[in-house]
Amino acid sequence: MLEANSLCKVYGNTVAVKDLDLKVGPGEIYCMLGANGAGKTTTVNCFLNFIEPTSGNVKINGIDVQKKPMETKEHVAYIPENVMLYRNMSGLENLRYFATLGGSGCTEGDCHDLLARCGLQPDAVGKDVVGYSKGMRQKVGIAIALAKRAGAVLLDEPTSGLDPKSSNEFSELLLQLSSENVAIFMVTHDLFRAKETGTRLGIMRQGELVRELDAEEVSHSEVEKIYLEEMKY
Amino acid sequence: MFSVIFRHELQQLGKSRPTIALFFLLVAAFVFAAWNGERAVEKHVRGTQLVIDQQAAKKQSWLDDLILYEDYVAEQGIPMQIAPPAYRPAPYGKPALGTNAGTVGEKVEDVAVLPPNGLSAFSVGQLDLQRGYSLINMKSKFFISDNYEIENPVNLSTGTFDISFVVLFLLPIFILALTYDLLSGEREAGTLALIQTQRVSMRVLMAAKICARASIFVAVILFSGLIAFAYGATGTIGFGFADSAMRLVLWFAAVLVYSFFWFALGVRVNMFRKSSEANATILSCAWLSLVIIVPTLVSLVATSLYPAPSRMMLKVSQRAAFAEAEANLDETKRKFYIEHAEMVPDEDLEEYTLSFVARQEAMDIAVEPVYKRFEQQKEKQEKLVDTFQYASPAIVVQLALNDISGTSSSRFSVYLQQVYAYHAERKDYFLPKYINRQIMTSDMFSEFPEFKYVQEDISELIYRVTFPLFLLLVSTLLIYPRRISVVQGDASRDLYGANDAIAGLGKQKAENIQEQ
Repeated sequence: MLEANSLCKVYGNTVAVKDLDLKVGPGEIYCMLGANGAGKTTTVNCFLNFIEPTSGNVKINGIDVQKKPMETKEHVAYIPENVMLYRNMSGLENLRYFATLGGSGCTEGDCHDLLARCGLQPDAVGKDVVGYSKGMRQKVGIAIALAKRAGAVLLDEPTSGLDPKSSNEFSELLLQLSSENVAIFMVTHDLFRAKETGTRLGIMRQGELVRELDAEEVSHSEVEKIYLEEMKY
Repeated sequence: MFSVIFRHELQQLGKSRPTIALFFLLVAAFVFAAWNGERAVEKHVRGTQLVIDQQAAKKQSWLDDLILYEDYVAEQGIPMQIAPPAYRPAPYGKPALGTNAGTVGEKVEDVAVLPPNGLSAFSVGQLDLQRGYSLINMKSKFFISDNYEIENPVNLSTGTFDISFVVLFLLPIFILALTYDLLSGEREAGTLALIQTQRVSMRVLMAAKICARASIFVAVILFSGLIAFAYGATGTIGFGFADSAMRLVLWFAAVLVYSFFWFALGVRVNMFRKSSEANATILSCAWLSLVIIVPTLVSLVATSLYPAPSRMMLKVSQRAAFAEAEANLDETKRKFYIEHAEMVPDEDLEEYTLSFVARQEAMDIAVEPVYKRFEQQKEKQEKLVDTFQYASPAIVVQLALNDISGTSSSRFSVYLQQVYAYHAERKDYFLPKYINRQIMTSDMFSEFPEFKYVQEDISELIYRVTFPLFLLLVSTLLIYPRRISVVQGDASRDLYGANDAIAGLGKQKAENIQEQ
């Protein structure tokens, strides 16, 4: 579903991503770990066609993102680290607007259900986003991604700013999506959450994918140990 | 997709207090400008009507005197006599002044009116500088133009707060206020990244954003235009509704093309991917350059390269001619006769008549070169402005709006040519009768030549105005970016920026893990 082939991205003299080969199949949750500047977000940006790869390509559902960007957008949803919404609109209005732009045509009832599923308090649904906390915005962002009913979801540190309970609920949502055969690629610093939800874990360092782990084959402490070892270099 | 974004944008604009304030401010500016323009035209029309009424009353009074005299002559069975050449009280039985063609030609003046058209209130233009009428007698041409402003005919007047002023100077500011952060605002608010992941092309997004904003302006322009048109129907009397309606259509076209230019500029600047503050600064500079500096420079260059003769020069020429004409006459007697025309004895009337005619002729001949030079310079100035108008959309539209509203200096020039031709016609009517000492009768009063302003065919105006506006439209299309997709980099830059911003936090997190 998500595929990166010899992906390279160079900014001036800085190599952000180097020869990345990656595949995330339907129902798989791939958690990409790595320090800041490792190239995780650059990889997400390439999938979203926000930036053009220097070489190599990325594909979503077998379609080359650079060649047919509009077609690939149909198959992918995105949750950024910091979901920014229209401040003078309610969470519900934001969801309806972005859902319509996403092509799903979410009814008001569906939107209410989605927001409830994402854990947004019912009394906040109709209030302007200007009064929302970061976590509340994040929940609306998740609802927007879910509303799209895309085959692949890209997440860039989605649990950042969420309280532990919400993070846990979010993990359950991801597992639910996975069971619906959605391919998930998540960039995170949260090793615990990555191990909890991910099916595969990747560690990036200075633009390179240096390690890949099967989440079922490693324990929490092993993940942490391996990660820290890789970060020593 | 377009309609979804369009509705969303309208909703956003409706919720924005600055936008609402701008909207009401723009409507208020249009309303005040319409009222102000209409007031200027009304004053102009009222002043003209006053002069027409005065002249009509004067003519009637002279005619009544003449009829009385004719009745007296018929009653007495005596031949009619010609009155002395200038005004003096005509008691019963004395020849009425109306019998003297020279006196009638000089004193009973006709009012040659330049009527405003249906849109004059939209663009007062030269109306506040030029009189809308001329008093025509058989004296020198100099006396007709004595009251006209002859300096700086192509000056882009900013004095009157009329609808043209609002369109040319204020409308771009309002447009830029709503477009400077078209994309940069979304980028800075962080919503652009989320939009870009949806199935919406940047071209459609931009088009919908522009159309939502443009719809507000189009609504205000159409509404204000129609209201001002209906309110200021003063000028429609002369040229009919069809003429005025066609002008209104042209006016809408000019204003819309001008508005689209500023919208296109706003979009183009948003493509620079700079901050909203930087966009606002760039667009403010563009406004200042295109609306203020360039038109001022063009006007300055035109008047510096081809300066028109001053009023002082005209006066000097006229006085010199007058002095020369007088010097060739029998000094003392002529001076006395000029001052006291009513005391000219019958035996000297012929000589007086000839001297009067000679003086007028001499004056005409003397001032003719000054006028010619003025006309030539004005023509050159206008040619230069016509050529350089494309340096600024404000000049193109100012010239078009003045032309459409019938307040352009070129229309005034055409009117002046018609006035001079009419002056010659009136002179041709009275002068031979005066020289031949033909006695005027009351029947002749209805035969006097009358001035009728000949309005150019509307097709000529359409032809003249369409081409510059078409070029402005072309340049607008050229300014509008071909590829809106260039903004793809914005979101990534944004995300990168966000990543950089949290880099410290992330690093700290990693360090914490390491420590553990």
